[in-house]
Amino acid sequence: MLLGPACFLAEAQTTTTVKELKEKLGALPLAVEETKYKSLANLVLNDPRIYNGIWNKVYNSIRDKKDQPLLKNLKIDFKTFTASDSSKASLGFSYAWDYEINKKKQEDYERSEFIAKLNLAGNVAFRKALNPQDFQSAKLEIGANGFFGGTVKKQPAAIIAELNKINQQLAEIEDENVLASSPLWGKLTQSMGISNQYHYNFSAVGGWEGSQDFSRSQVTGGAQLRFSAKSYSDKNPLSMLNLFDYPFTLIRYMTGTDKTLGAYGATLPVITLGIDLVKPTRDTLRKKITGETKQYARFRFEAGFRTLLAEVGNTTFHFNAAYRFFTELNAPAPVKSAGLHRSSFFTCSVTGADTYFISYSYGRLPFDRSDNAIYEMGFRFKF
Amino acid sequence: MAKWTSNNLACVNLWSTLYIMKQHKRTFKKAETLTMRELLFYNPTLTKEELKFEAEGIADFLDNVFRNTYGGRYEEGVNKAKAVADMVNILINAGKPLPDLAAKVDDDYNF
Repeated sequence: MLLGPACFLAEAQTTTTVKELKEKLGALPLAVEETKYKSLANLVLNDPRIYNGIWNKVYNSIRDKKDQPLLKNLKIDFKTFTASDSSKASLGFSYAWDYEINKKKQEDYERSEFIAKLNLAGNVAFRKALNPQDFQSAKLEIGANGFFGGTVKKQPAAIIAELNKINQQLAEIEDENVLASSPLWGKLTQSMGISNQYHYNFSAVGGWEGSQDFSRSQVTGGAQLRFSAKSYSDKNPLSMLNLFDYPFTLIRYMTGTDKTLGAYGATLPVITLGIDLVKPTRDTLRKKITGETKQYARFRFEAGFRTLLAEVGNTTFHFNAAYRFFTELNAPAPVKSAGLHRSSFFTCSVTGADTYFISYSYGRLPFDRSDNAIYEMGFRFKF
Repeated sequence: MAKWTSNNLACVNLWSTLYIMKQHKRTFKKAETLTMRELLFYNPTLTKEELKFEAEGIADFLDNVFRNTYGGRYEEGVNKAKAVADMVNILINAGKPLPDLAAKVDDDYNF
């Protein structure tokens, strides 16, 4: 008796469930088909390998047809971008394009090279919110590298044979003093007619970088001039201008390394002048003082000098030095008062073969250049 | 290490030109053990870019002397850019001995 209504209820429930089930089962083949199709379509359309395959075929056919210098270094790579929590993904591509224009000019008394490079690179996700590498950049670099002078006279065949013979005679000399005072050097250098060498390098880089939708962007840039002059012939007016070498001239003379007094034109310093736009993104001290990491312009002056100190037995002692100076242009007052707007660094050492005998460093490099500070502060001795 | 002998014009011409450039003061025989860091231009306080710049100056002058003073001609497939770049690659390598530079000169020039 008690079971009667319960059985009725159960029957009614079962009937409803079966009905629903039937309805559901009826729709199932359709839904399965639809899901299968969608999954397959998603799988195909989101597979970067398909797009890479198509792109490579198109790219290769264009490139094979003609020599295409513009397209030569264009790289497009379709890929899947994954959100940082790996839950969502989006198809996209990365691109990089380098275009180089080099005009070379090589003559006997003027050799120079013009450099112009264009570089574009970036990552684009079709759903930009899923782009963990949201960065694009465009950079234009122009510059010139070259020499004036540093040449010798072109010799006729008969003289060449004679000069080669002189060289072999010099090579047979086994005593360093005899070698240094050999009159054959005079004959050789007189025939050569060496002119002073002036070497320069100029480069300017300007660029833009930002996010894929251009909502965040900034300009980048800098310019640099490097210069070096060398005179390889004796008693040259340019050598006499090498004031840095004067004290060492005296040391060389006193130690018997050189038989005569005279500054080396081969040791004139290499000088670099530059202006850079600096992004202090990792400079926490600056951020603490100014409350921001806005980029700023900075001037730099760098010079390097090395000369012969003395020759003792089979060991050659050299004096090496470098000086680097940096100053921020229009630095804000808090940066100036904290003394962060200017920095300089001096380092010098005496080396013999592959050993440091003494080194001294003073000052500091700017934050972004501190990776180069390989020398310990103060004096360091090693014998 | 390449063979260092006065019968090889690449060795002799390299040694004497570097001597004239005041890069070293060694006799031919003793120069065999010289390494790049012992040459006058190799300033260890310079940045890599500065050192390469100085090495380019040395290589460019050597190239001029080899071709004009000693009548050297580039070997097949070699031009000025390659010959200079080959020398620079060795010059900036502190531990490379002089005979290695001479071997490269011998590869690129025919004296």
